[in-house]
Amino acid sequence: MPSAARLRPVPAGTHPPYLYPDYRSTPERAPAHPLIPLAQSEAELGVAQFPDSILRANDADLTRQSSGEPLGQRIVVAGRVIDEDGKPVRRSLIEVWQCNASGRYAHARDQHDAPLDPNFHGYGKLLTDDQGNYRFVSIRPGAYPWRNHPNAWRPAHIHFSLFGNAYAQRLITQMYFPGDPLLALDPIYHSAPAGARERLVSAFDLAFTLEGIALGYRFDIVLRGREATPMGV
Amino acid sequence: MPGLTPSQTIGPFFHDGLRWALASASPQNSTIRVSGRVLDRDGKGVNDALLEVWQPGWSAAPFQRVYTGEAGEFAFAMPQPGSDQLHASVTVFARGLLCGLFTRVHLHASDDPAALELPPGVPQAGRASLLARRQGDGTCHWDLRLQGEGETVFFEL
Repeated sequence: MPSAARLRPVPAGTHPPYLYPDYRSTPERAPAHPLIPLAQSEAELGVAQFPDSILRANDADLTRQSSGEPLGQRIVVAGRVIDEDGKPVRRSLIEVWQCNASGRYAHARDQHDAPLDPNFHGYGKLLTDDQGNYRFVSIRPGAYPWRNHPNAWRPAHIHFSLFGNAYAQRLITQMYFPGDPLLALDPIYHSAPAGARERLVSAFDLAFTLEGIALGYRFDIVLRGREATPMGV
Repeated sequence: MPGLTPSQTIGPFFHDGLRWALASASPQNSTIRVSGRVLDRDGKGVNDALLEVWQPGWSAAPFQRVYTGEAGEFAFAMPQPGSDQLHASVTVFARGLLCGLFTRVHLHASDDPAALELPPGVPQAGRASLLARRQGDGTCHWDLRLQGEGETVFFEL
C-alpha cells in the first residue's frame, strides 16, 4: 500500500461539542472523558471502496423511486466535495436521507401526525465524480416538530453521510436551506460553532435550477486536508 | 483555505437510507462473532445507533455496518486472531451524538487487558473497554459504553 499523507488536525471551532445540553439527547450520551489523540496509521488513511455497481437507477433522483410523482417542491441539490486545500474528493460515497414535503420520514419510528407520501421514500446515494462534483434531485423537505423543548421545530434539512477518501474523513452532517427562520431557534444547528455552522446552509443557485422543473441549491462540502509529507518520509 | 464542514447528528431516522450497506451477519468458520450492547450514561441500551467496523486488512469483510436493536444490541464479525492480537476500528453514530465517535475493539488470546498493545495515552482504567471478552460459546462480548462507569475509550483521529 502506498504511503498516504496523514490528515491535518481538525481546527478548533469546527465541530459541535459532544455535550450540548440545549440538545437534550446529549447529556446521557456524550462521553465524559476527553478523546485520546491517535496517531493515524494506514487503517485511518484507507477507506472502504464502493464501486459504481452499488448505484441503482434513480438513487440520485428521489422523485423517481416510485410509480408516481411525490408531492412538494422539486429541487436539485449539487455541489463539490473538496478538502481543505481545495482538492477534489474523488469517487467518494455520499448517502442522503430526508423527510417528505409534509415533514414526515418514511420511518417506522416517526410518529409525527403528518401524511406519508407513497411516492417518496426520501433516501439516495451517489458517488462524486473525478472533480468531486455531485448532484441529486429531490423535493424540498418540510419542517417538523420534535420534543426537545416546548414548541420545538427542526428547520428543513437533508442528512448527508460522507466517506471521503480516508477513514478519518468520515462525516455525517445536515444541509439546511437559506433564509429558514427556524435556524435561529434550532439547537442542533447552533451546536456547531458560530463561523462554522453557516457552512451548513446551502445557497440558492439559479445555475442548478432546471427551468420549469426544479429549484437549484448549491451545497459544497469540505473534508479534512492532508499534511504535506507522506507517512514514513 | 476553505473551512471544514461541521458535523451534525445522524438523528433517529437513518435506518432505511443506509440499509443497503448493512452487513449480512453470517459468521464463517474462520470468524468470530463479536456482540454486545451500546449503553448510555444510565446503562440503558441505545436503540438507534449505527456502528461501522473497519478492518482494511481483512478481505472477507473490510467494512461492516450494523444497527443496534431495541435493547442496544449489535453483532459483527472479526477474524480469528491466531497467536497475535488484532483489532478493528469502530465508528459510532447515534441520535444525541453531534459527532461520530471512533474507538477500537481488540481480540486477544488472553482475557487480560494489561496484555493488549494499545496506542499511547490510553488510561489504565480504560484499557478493559477496548477488549472483547471470550465467551464459553466461542463468541466474544464487547459493550460500548458512551458515558459513565466503564466508559469506552474514544479516539481523536
